[in-house]
Amino acid sequence: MTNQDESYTDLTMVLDLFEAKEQRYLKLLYSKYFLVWGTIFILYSWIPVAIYYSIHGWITYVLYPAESIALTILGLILTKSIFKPIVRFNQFRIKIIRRAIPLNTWGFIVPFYLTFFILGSLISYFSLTNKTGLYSLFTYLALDVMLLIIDYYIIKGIIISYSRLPIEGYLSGFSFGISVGISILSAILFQKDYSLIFTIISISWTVTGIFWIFSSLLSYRAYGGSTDG
Amino acid sequence: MDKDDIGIPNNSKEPRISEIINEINVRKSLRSTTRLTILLMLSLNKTMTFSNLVEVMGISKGSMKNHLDLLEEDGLIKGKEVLTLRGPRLIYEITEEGKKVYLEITRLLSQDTKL
Repeated sequence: MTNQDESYTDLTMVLDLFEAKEQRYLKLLYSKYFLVWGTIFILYSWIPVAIYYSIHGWITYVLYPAESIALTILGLILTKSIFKPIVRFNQFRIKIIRRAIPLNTWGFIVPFYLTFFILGSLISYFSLTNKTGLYSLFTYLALDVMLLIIDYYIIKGIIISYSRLPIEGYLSGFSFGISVGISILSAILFQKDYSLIFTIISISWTVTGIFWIFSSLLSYRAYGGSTDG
Repeated sequence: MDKDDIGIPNNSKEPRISEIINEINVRKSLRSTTRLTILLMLSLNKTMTFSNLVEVMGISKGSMKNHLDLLEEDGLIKGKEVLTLRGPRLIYEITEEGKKVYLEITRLLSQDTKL
């Protein structure tokens, strides 16, 4: 027979226990999220290299954006699936548990808006002075800006879940922001040297992918899961 | 009635903590902090594996099985074995009856202002 049979007089204890256990379970879900995107970032970097060395001709102009878009869509589908319970818990935390959520998230938001501002300025300057390479630049920009927005909401979601940003949040957020910056800057600065741009972008996103996979391991460690399922 | 994703009504009335206590006490399977927590977790996560529940709750497999059996006997959750890439897994999910109990509890909780 199980223990702890009782009549209830205090539900605060139940909600506190539920909140602590659910926050621990969410570490597993965040771990999956970091792993999915960490892997995708590495694939983003190396699939174009594989295409470059194995396929030639006009088809590559279709394959480059196609593989990026396909990977992004796959990532978004998996993210949506992973984040449903997190969104439900965050709503529960705000409306039922009524835990105080820190309203001042500027410390995390500013770096993202700053990145947007810098990118916007550089794009404007570039598009007015030189039309070469605009297509490839805007392909990167469209993906990067979309991912930046997603990452912003993910970080905000983590803050609502835990009332703070854990170390894996800092690692993933800032490594991502730095890679976006490097991608854009390299596209602008070395616009005629595509092999150099590809090399810089591949290295920076591979490093970011490794940071995200490391974040996944940190999150999984915080969950404390075993591997025997 | 206007509801959000977790089924919480947006219009609140008077707080009635005694109704929540009665709702829980009327079901023997819910007279346990652990089992009530499991019900809430399955309500929000929809499905969880037996292993995940053991790891998260930090109790033994035998104790967890007893808790889950009681909830299952009361028709609040159901377990099923599914085949995954990592082998067969025992997965638990909330039943329609369980959802009703969860919604009733959250409805009453959302009306309460002083837990």
